[in-house]
Amino acid sequence: MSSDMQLDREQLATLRLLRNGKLLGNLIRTYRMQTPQQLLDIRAALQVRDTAGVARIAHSLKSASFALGAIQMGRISTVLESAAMQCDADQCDRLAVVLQEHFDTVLPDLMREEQA
Amino acid sequence: MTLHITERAGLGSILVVDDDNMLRLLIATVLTDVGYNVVTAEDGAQALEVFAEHNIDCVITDVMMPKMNGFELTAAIRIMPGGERVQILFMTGVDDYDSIQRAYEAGANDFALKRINPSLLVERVRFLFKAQQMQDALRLSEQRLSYAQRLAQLGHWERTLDGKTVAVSPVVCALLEVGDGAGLTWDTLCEKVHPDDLPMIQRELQQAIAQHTVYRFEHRFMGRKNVIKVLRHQGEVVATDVPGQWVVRSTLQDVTERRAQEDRLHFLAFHDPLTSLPNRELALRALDSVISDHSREHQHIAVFAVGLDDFSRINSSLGQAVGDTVLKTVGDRLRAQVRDSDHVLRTGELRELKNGCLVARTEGDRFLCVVTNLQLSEAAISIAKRLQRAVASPLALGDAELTLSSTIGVSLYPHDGLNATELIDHAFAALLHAKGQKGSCQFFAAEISDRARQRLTLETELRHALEERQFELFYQPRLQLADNRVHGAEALVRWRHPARGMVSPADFIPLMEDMGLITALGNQVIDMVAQQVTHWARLDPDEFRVSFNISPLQFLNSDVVAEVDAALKRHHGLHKYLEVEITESALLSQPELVSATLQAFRERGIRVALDDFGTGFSSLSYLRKLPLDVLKIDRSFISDIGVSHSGTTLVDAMLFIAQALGLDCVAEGVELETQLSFLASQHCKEVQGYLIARPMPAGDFLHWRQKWNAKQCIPKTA
Repeated sequence: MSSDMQLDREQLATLRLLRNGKLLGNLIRTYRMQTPQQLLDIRAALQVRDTAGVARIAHSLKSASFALGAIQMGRISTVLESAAMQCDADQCDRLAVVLQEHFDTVLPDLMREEQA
Repeated sequence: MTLHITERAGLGSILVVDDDNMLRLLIATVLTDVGYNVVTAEDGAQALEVFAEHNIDCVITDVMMPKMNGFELTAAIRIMPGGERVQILFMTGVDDYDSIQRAYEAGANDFALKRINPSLLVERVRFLFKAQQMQDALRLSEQRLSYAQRLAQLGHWERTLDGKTVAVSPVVCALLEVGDGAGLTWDTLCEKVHPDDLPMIQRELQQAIAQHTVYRFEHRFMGRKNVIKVLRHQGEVVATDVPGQWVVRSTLQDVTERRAQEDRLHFLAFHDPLTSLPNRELALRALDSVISDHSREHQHIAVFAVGLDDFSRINSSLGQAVGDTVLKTVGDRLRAQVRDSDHVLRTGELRELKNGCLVARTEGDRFLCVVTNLQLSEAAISIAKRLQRAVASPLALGDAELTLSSTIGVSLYPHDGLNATELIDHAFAALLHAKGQKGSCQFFAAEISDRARQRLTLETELRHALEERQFELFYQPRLQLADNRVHGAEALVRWRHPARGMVSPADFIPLMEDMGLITALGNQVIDMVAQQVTHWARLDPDEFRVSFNISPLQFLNSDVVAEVDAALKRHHGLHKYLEVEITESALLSQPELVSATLQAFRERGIRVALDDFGTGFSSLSYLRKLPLDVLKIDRSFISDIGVSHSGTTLVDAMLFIAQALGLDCVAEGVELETQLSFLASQHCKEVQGYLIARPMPAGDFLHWRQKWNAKQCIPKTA
């Protein structure tokens, strides 16, 4: 998937207008810092088959991703949240991997936006 | 894309609740930048603490949060102080319909998508604040309306056509004493409506329902503890949104106090304030009402016009307070008489009168009794006698006892009149006719009506005479026996009627007293006397006094001293040329006031004469105490001189008393030389009477006096 499909450029442009772009930098920095921890927390929860915990973290990640314009991260988080709520741990395992891969993919683009 | 933040909102406080740092930062930044005060919380529990500490206008919350989710937070906030009015916005996913539904159920005002568009978020929040302002304004308006309704005791009530309550305000519940109104129906109200009013309100409501019109009525409501309230209903039958379905919307108001005030005003308009008896107007209406019913029956109605004999004398001699007591007592006595045996009416309500009787006070000392349902007109005679006996019972006034008497005029329906006005007028005409015979009872006759008309004409003419100043003064000389010269005169009022010529005072003075015009006439007399003596003083330097009479009514009820002062000032006259004559009856009432007034006259140089001495109640103690200068012996005693030994002796004694008290004595009504001779021999100071001269117009008097004094003509003595 290309980075253009992973980021909502329009949303990012909108956010960049706030406080001369400084807010967007702060938001991306916060997202960059909290998302890896959330991904680790998802894996940890899956190891003990805590699907409720997975659902809660996925929900939070979903919201942050959509708000920042990381739409693909948001969509995958939405599916993960749904699978976790249905207690489908195996599906959650697969989606957690996909989520990690997409984060790794979108991170460079986000860092460029942060620097812009 | 351009971010449209077109308006900086006014200050408002927003609480942002989200467990995600980035979202809190984003939302807080967006809203802070447009001017809101933003505080944040990471979860629901923290949010509740923040909410309790800050004056929050709006809460923006995530749905899923650790410890307490958005739904629980919303429910908790709603029951906190201020929580009922705060705007709550949920942030949800685009397809999270279940959360949206639950959010509204929990008390949320709106939702927004988590994929935050700053412009839309700001607009959404701005809308929420505007909605909040409108809700606040609405709430305030409702509070004011509710307050006003509570103050006015005005409530609203909406119910179905068969009487089931749709909506009801607390005021209505309070008025109808039905708690919170649960189960309230139209029938609930009807159970407590005064039975007499129930048919009326049912009729009015049914008519409004049938015609889909407005209705308006008042009825009595039997409240708890037997308290009767008056409720006013005003409503209309209106269609609802459901086709063919109608409801009754009405207001309900407690108008008990207003009705009581109206009743008081009504009472004042139709009753005599002194005796609380119905007045003439109510008597007229009541009698007409009875007659309208009575025409179907074959029974008689008797109208008794009751007049107290000599009431003006009681009032003037014993004071108005005693007079009022007499009137109230007589009213009670009359009422008791017709009540005991004839079902008298006490309240004056027309409907109650129809089968009963009425006692009214029409004016002054005049009462009216109406007795219905007489089988025979002859029964009126016995009722009249009973009324007179009741009035005649002795009336205790402190240690003293007053004996009253009354004269009655009677008219009978249908013989003497077919309407109330005729019957009442004819009863009073009969009374007027009977007044010459105190204590009598006179039934109306056609010729009496003629006399009543004559009297009415005379009354009208007298009022006109006062306005036109048709009254004039005649002067009767007072001869001083020591030098046989005229040093004074008594001014006597005459009425020069444009058609009938000169009218005797006996024909109009009592009537003017009855009409309450005597003071006005007295003031004209004072003015004429002041003008005349001033004129004569300029023409004739000899010491000369003119005496004039003051009615007891004028003496007691007006500032007669001030009137005399004013008249003399107008004509630039002097007090020393005047002498006031008062009768003995004026002395009996309010002796302190009388004494002070007489003293005021004397201090000004005006002499004070006691007129008609011997005919009244005066005692020697009065004569000693009062500041008098002159005693005028009544003509009735003078006429007895030489006729009987006792008569002569009595005049001799009067002259002796006057001399002993240091008072000058004037003998009135001297017509014979034998009388003059006796009076001269007993050192009476002055005499007046036809033997000297008849009263004469002012124009003649000066010439007559100059001629008399010049001749020093002394009539022969026996």
